Amino acid sequence: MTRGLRPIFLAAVPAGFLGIFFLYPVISIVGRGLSGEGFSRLTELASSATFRGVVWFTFWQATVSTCLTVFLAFPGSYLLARYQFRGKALLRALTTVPFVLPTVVVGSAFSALFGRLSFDSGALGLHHTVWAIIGAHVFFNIAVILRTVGAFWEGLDPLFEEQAYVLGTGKWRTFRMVTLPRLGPAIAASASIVFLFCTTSFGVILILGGSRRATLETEIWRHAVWRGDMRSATAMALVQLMAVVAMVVVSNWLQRKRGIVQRRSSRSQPRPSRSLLLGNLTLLTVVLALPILVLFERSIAVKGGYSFRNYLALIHKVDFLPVSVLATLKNSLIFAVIATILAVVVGGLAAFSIVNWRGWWAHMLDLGMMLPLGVSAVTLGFGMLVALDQPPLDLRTSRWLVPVAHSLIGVPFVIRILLPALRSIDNRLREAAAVLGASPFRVVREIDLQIVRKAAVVSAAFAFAVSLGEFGATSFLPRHPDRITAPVALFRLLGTPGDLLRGQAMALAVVLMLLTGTCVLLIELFGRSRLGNVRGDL
Amino acid sequence: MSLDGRSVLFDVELEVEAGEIVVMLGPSGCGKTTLLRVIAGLQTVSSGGIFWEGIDITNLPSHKRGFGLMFQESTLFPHRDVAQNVSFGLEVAGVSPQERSERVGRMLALVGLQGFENRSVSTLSGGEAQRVALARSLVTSPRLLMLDEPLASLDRSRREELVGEIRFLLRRLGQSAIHVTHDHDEAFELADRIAVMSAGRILRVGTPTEVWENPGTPEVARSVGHRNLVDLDATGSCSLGTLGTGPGTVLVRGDRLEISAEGFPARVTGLSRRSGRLEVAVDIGGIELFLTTERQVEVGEAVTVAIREGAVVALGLS
Repeated sequence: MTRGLRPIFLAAVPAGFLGIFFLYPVISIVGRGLSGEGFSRLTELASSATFRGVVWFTFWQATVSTCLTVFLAFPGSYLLARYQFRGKALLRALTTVPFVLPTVVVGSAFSALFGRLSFDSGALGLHHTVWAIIGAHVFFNIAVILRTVGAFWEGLDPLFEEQAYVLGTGKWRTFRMVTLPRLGPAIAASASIVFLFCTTSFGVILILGGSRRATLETEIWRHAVWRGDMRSATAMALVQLMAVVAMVVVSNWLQRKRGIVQRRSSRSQPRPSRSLLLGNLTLLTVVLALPILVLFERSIAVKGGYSFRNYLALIHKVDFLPVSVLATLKNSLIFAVIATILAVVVGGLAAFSIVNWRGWWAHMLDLGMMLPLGVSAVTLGFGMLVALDQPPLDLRTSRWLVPVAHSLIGVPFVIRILLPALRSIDNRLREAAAVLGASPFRVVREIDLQIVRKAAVVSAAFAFAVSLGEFGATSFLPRHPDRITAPVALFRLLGTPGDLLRGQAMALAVVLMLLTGTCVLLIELFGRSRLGNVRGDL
Repeated sequence: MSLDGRSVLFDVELEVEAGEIVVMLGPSGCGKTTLLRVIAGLQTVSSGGIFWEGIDITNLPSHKRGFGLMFQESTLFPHRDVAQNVSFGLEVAGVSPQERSERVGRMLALVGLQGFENRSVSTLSGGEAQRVALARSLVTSPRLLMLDEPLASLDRSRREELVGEIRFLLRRLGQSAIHVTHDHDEAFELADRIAVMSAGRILRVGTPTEVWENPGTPEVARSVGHRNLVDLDATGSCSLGTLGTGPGTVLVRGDRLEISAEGFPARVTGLSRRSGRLEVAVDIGGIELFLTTERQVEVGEAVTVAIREGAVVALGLS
């Protein structure tokens, strides 16, 4: 117990950050949407068939994507949960790479993949088909299910299943009647997160859906940025918000149920059968590796063979962009560094306050800091555009706007990573330090900060990767043309007519992928140590 | 004081002399740990105060009290090795690195862990970990060291080994200490004075001899390990004779009972060997008593038991 350190002051920083840069913009949208003319637009929309179609499509594709993701993740979860084999950690790490990839990169990869498979917008027309979108969603989110359900499954004592075998049920029935119900909470919690991500998916839909497929997110963007129709955009954003709030509440409730600590099985795990391992590897290769490989192949493909020309071309300026692609990468990296620092500081203070401060305020802060994740980058960007246009908060032309937006999206990840690490610290370690003479500040310095050091690195890597690839919010935020970010540049390159700059787009996508992929490797390298008090190891 | 709305400690008054080892003896849940935490400053009192050498330190935060506390389970810092753990208190106090490593080295040698400086704490056995914890608490020469059942998690032989070492160390350093345990053998071996606790109250304080020979109440008697408690009827009698003046319970000290040629007729009902001694349970007229003997007896054998002078100790009501 850190008496003397006032958590309320610490909590003021993240709360203030959240309030100004998130709540205020979001409330501005709600305010405008619910105002007289805003409300009338809302009712107009509700009766519009097109709009209803958009909403329907949004949820329909999310549902199918989620179900398919969960289904395809099962074999892998089983493998990771119940078996031990060489390269297991590597496999787990590799499946996480897609999750951190920028949406525009994934969009490019699937565009390349389906372009390769069909004859681009030919009779099969898979290029702009809903299945490309769903495939991309599965690609992204399979890691969420694999890791959540896999980890949970691993912790389940196989005693129950063995009991069932003895009682006479076969493997499949046992799975259905014993394992599946026990996995229920983990599946529900992770599926609800995947569902949330799919409904708020933006970059993927824009790139793969073309002009015919629209979700709430893309429509908000179209109306706000392309048509300048703020009224409609606001009304749609309001609808989006309400849906997301509902989903976050449900997801949080489901996650709380998951908190039942089951008895950990300490039994050693067997090696998997050849067919199980190969089957899984094939599945995962098709789902995960194939798009990436095709992306890479497309980036080095030029008329009449292969070369790295496209990569070299990145250095030069092209007509469609205000600066060279290399310059956009530089911008993205600078923004990412600033955003990471902001996210780690704000998230760290928030996590620390939440852990040390009992009471419903802590829970509110916890929930509040997670909202940016759900409220979708588009709404956030839109909100900032709408709200931060008058002094003293006229930040529209500020160079800080983009990193701030990025950090807001990174903060939830930072908190989610730091919280368990902080909670794992046995309070008696802090007490022992206090009795030995360490003041409350010293205790934090010597105990908390030391033990969560590795978690802090992991969270920083996450925030960095998120910022590098951020597209949804950034595409709203006005900025000096020279300060365009790499994902936005990629989108523009992909949108140019013809195949002129497609190769360059693919090359840029590969570069972005390598950068974010390195972050994941860092995450995996540092994230695996067991921390906590020594009792667990003795 | 109250904890979570329940009163945990009632009217607890305790005084510790310099260089003295006081052992708090009592069953689990009687409030011993709470008392230590209160003294250490990890928990606040709802009423009453804590005084050190006459000065009121009730509101002084933990880290300024200069006390030491050793927990029941090892709370060694996992991110520091053995030497860094032991030197923690010295670091916080601003002691120079040379002096630190000197003192740490000496303390580790004292607890029998020379050469362990660079070991990682996760590689230590239970006994070794507790020694490091002991070294860590002692190296700062705390005004008062508190030990919260530090041996409870160790196996029997380790425990007995460590009890002797702790006593030797504390004596050698002249360290004042409050040691908490539920094991009466441990209490008797360590203590200069014993305080028997139960349900948040201190029942009896005294030297081991005083407490053993004159427990005062049946509850205290049981706590310190007596088993020969005999109920008397309205006239103060039982099958052993008239041992008292009225109804109540008396203690018949096992060490004043002897199997000899003359005495009460009895039958051996049980035998057990405890650390080499032969402990015998005898039935005298329906009362079961325990005593030790060097004679070889068998279960069921008829013997005679003499009750020596001073065997019967009066006890008040519980």
